[in-house]
Amino acid sequence: MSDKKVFVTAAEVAAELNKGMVIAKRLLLIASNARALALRAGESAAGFRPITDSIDDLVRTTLDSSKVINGKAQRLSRIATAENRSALALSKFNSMYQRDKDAKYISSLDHVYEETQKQHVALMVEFRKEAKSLNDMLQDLYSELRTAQIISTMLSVEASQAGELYKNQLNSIATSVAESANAIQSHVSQSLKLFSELTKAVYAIKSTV
Amino acid sequence: MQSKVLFSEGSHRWVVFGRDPEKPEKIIDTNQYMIVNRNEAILLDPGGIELFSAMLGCVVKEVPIDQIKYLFASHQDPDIISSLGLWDQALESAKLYSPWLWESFIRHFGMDKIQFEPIPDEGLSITLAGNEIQFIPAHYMHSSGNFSVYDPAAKILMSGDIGAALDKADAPMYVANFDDHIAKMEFFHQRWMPSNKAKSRWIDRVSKLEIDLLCPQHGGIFKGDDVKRFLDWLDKLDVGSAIK
Repeated sequence: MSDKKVFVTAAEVAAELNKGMVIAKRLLLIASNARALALRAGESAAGFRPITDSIDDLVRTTLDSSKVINGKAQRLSRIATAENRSALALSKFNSMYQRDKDAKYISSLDHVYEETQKQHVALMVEFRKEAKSLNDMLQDLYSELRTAQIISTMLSVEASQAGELYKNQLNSIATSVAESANAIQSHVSQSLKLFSELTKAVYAIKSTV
Repeated sequence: MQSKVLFSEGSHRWVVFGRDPEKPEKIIDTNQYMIVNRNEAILLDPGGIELFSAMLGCVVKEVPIDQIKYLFASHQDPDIISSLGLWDQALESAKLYSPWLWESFIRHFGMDKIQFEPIPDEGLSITLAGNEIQFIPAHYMHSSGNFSVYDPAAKILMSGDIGAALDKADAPMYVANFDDHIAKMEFFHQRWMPSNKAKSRWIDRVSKLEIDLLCPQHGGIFKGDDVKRFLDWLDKLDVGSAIK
């Protein structure tokens, strides 16, 4: 785990989620436009309005989850930094033990060494726990975003029933919703991919500790 | 890394650590100092991350680790104190004395267990198991918040970067020939020291002290008459060369 990649990955996950959040905010505008258009279209687009509420719900879920996941990614990065520091201290202690084994007071370091080892193991355990939790949240968000496709399909159906004047605009909104959701999903998917690489690296290092 | 006892009287001693033959080539050679008195010790400018392991080995040859009660960082530079995060792992309870000005900067090196003790601009005296240690202002020499350390009982002044020389890694611990030594420290002082006024102020201050050894953080240590030779030479030197 004492690999620069941990820090980089945590930062990359946060960056991917940030891109997703920007798109999600844009989706809020699309939902707002859809609501206004549905009002203008009147009875023929009456089914459109409740669906825009679903878009709102989806956006809020995305934003809320992304915020929590972002916080977790930052926390993970902090744990990794602390772990890195204790691993560095252990490696420096080890080289000193090898080189200066005859130093008069070398045993005075034994307690510190043991404590640093304990701290290192505790940080590894905490890292794995947090990493799993973050991974689960990313999976949940990814699944949640699948509902966007259903919303988009429902919007298309409702658009086909609207008057000719509004049909194209409503269809365009349905397409925008689908495209935005796809884009967000792709960023979440990229985060998951990064995370799976990280998890592999962590477990590879665990077996050497 | 080599160790050399500079002063020893009863349980009071000064040790210098430096001239590490295993030091990576491109990092500047540094002198680290330790003052021990009875069951307490202070590390002066404990050095950078790269040297930590060698330094730790040297320290536990001299004292048990739990006797390191204090660290001192004359200023914020990486060759002075970037090992702080590692000492923080090694020391169960210690205090770091350093210019108040640099606290929030130095904490970037990582410090959870060690307690920061800010030195006010006018300086501070502490006791090391009953022996007085003075932190003497050396501001702008070269850092804007900077201190030297004076031990009146041992008559030793640790001057940090003042008196520093860019020398070979296997150079002798003491300055052998002052005139030859000038070439090794002239550029360092002209370029790193920013202010003639600050320089004069520091010289005035330390000229009042009884100094047998003047110990810089880089290069040879000045002893005996070389201390006065160095102060006279520095007094005449024009510094702050980059803006001339």
